[in-house]
Amino acid sequence: MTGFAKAEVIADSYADSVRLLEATRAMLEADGVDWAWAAMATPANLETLASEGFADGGDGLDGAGVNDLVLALRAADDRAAVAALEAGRWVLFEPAAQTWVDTEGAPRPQDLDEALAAGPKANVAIVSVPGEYAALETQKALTRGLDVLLFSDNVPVADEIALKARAASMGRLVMGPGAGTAALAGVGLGFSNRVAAGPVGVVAAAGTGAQEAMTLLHRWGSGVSHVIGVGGRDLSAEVGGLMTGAAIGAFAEHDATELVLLVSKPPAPEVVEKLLGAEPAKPLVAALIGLDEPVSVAAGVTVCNTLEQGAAEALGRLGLPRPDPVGGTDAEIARLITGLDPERRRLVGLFSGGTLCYEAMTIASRHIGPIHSNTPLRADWGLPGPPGAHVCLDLGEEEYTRGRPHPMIDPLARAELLAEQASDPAVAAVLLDVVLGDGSHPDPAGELAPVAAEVAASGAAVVAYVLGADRDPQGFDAQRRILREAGCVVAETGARAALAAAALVNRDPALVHEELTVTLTA
Amino acid sequence: MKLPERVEVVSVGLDRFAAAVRDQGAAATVVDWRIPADGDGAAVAALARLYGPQAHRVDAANAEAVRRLDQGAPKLVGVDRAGAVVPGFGDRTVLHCGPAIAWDDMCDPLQRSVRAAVIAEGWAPDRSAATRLVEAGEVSLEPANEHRAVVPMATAIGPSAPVYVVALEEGSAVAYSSLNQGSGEVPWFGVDSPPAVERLRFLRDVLGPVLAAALDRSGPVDVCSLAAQGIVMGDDVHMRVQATTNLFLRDLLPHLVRSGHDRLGEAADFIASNHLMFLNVAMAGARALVEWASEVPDSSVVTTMARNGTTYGVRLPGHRDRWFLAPAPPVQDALYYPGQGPETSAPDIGDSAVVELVGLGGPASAGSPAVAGFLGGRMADAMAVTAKMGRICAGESSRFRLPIMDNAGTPLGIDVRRVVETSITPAVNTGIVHVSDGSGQVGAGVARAPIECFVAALLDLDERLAHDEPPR
Repeated sequence: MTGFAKAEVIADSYADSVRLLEATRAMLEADGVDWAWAAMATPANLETLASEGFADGGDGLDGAGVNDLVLALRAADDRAAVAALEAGRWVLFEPAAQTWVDTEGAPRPQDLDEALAAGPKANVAIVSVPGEYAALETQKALTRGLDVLLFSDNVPVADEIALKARAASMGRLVMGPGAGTAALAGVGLGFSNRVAAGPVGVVAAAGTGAQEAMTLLHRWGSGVSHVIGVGGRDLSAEVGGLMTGAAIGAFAEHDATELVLLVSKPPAPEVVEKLLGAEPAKPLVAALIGLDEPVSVAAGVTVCNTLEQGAAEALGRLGLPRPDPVGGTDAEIARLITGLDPERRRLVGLFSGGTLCYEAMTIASRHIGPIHSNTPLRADWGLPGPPGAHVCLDLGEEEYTRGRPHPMIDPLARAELLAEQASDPAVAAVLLDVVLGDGSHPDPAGELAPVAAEVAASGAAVVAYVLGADRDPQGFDAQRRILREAGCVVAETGARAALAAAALVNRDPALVHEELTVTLTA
Repeated sequence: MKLPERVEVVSVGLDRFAAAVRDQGAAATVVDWRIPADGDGAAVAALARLYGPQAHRVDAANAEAVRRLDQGAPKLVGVDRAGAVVPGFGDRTVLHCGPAIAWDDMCDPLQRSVRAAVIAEGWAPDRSAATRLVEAGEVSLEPANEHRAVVPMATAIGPSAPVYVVALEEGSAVAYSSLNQGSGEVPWFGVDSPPAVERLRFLRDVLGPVLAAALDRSGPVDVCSLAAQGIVMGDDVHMRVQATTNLFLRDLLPHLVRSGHDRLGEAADFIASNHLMFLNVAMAGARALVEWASEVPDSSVVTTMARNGTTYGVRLPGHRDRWFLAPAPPVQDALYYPGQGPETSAPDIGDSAVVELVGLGGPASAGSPAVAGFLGGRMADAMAVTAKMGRICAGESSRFRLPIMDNAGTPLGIDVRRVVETSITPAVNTGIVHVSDGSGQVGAGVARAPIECFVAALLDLDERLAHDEPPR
């Protein structure tokens, strides 16, 4: 350990993890700083600080508690340390950070009841506190009669079941835990897209899956009534589809909804039977991503295994024309194949959306074989793979977000990994997703484009998919144009991007047109 | 289930989610969230149940408990001999402040006060004889709080001591408190010298009978009505009770004069020199109110906060035999007499925090320039104390109003859920007595209750409700 160590305790100042990471980054970026960390003074964090040599020294660490904030760093000298601390404090407490205060100078409500006293018409709570406290905040919101988007991860499954059982008995929604996306009455919650109002009610156990479904419906001329996220575990045997069942039931009574689109990884078999075994009140399309064995469902239920087909089937059953998911990409792919060096055989997928990563692997692996991943389809496809293996990474997973923001919020981490691909002579295709909408980075394509251009110039092909809608703040067409101008192939759906990448790896342009499996009913 | 037709959001956690909703033209606020219960997992789980499936049951009970604290009208009906009126007061019994405690575990000031009571009762001629008697187990030591009584600081009373008798018209609750012993060498400040014992005899033989006679003539005195007037005049009715004491004496004056007691002049000398006299009346009134509220099952409104200089105890309604204890803390934020300091100070002691349970004292700080002076001089500091109490209270007083806060009611009904969730424990303004030498008061300060006893009370409530009828 070298350098000048300095720590500062800011008492009674909770900051969420995103802001703490921003402060950490600001301090690290300051001149002459070797090591920096902004953290809450939890016992575990204080231990970490002690192991970094911040135990003693009269800087107030000894008496610090869980709601005290610590800025700690090692720098070349005292001046650098002071400047870096200032930079960290600025990120945490700059005036702009407070601009969302409703009324000028009005104090922020200190708890839900104070917020409801100031705004008694509030009817939805978004809970994003650390997982061990999420059940408490969700219970409070339910008690006050609010629907809840429960963004927090790491909520025990027993808490999830208790929350959802109570919500169901009260006629309320608990969307989550781990639900990043919902849209109620035209307002996107969490990471969401601005799409037209329409006849499709979406129930989604997969965050970017919900975003893909709602934007495809919008781009293909339809729209959504509500998008209800239920959290990735809802259709597990333990939770038993508690909220999915409640949501499907709610859509049955919802006049503006004509059809329900369910988006999920393949559920537990008994949950399929429970949710899809009886004829639904309204037409139901289940996009069970990656499903490879037909399942037995009631009449009125259509089952498919990609998001693209889920949206297309919904359009079909509503009597709307089928979209063309290929666009002009086939010619581009054919051209790129002819230019690929014979040594280039690898697929490298760098994803910000977990569901998009999962879907891409289920589609591409059928054509190119095993894909190794931090979220592998099979236990023996984990990391590291053998030399030359195909790799798809879900960069939104914990191991990549520790110490830095989610790649949908901050594309920087992904840009670094992307740049590495320019020097790998075995890469045939790099697959990227770019997720637009509220909650996401204001210009993700702009951040990624220069690096994507380097990769394209190195001889590999870059296939990108932009998930978004023309109403999204980033601008759908503009973001696609930026990537095209950087030399990327821009696909029409997540599924088609995966097929395009597989086509490049296999040197088989016809794959771009591959018919996706439509009916998977036993 | 009915899906919403419009959306207005409260974000508990990340700012960016509220900003995103607002960007879409919908309303959204952000809660300034803090880690609850200092991150204690068991307490957080209990809070999730008590604010969740049990919330309606607890909230309904609290509404009734707060109604009782707010609407009950305690009346001072007389002064009588403790042994004659206090229920269960045995012959050789001394009632003391705080939770139950053995002689050996008592702090020095409380031991001295017990000794003074034993001598004043005539059970022993001097201090060493009194000590031997108590050590031999000849005197039963019991918490006043378990006899519907409250006593301030280190007060201990024997059966011959006079007590205020306060009755509630509603609920037939009766409560008692000792008479204030005034200043100087006095047992309630941990002094057991001959003058201190003499003060107890004076209260028994002179002040008690004089007040009893006057109250017989005047009829019942409305305790909360006087306190409400006193608050408007700058009392918090705990640390500062001057205005209320004066109002009380003004009402009583004609009856005192006409009582014709032959030692009225001595009583008047004492009364004129004791500006804390009404404190004990307020305490008895508060005890009557919390006795009534404590009959409401399932409530999380605290109905006892009491200290004996060794332990700090709280109780909840519906479970009156169960105390939740923690070591009595030192008095923080203290001011000391010259030559005194933390090392010469006994820990926090006395039952007077009962007034904080009914919207007096700490909750009424905002209206009191005297309290503000103690906190550094700014009214904003006193208002902050009231605001902080508001964060842990279930309701507001409709009769104790604070002109400086646009006549808002004082925070009322300390909710153990909020205390544990926010880790804000009630602040109690109190005197400090010498830890060991019997020299009496050494200073004053703000005592913060230890959180552990509130956490224990919360976990017990959670357990009781879980084993009771299933929640809806």
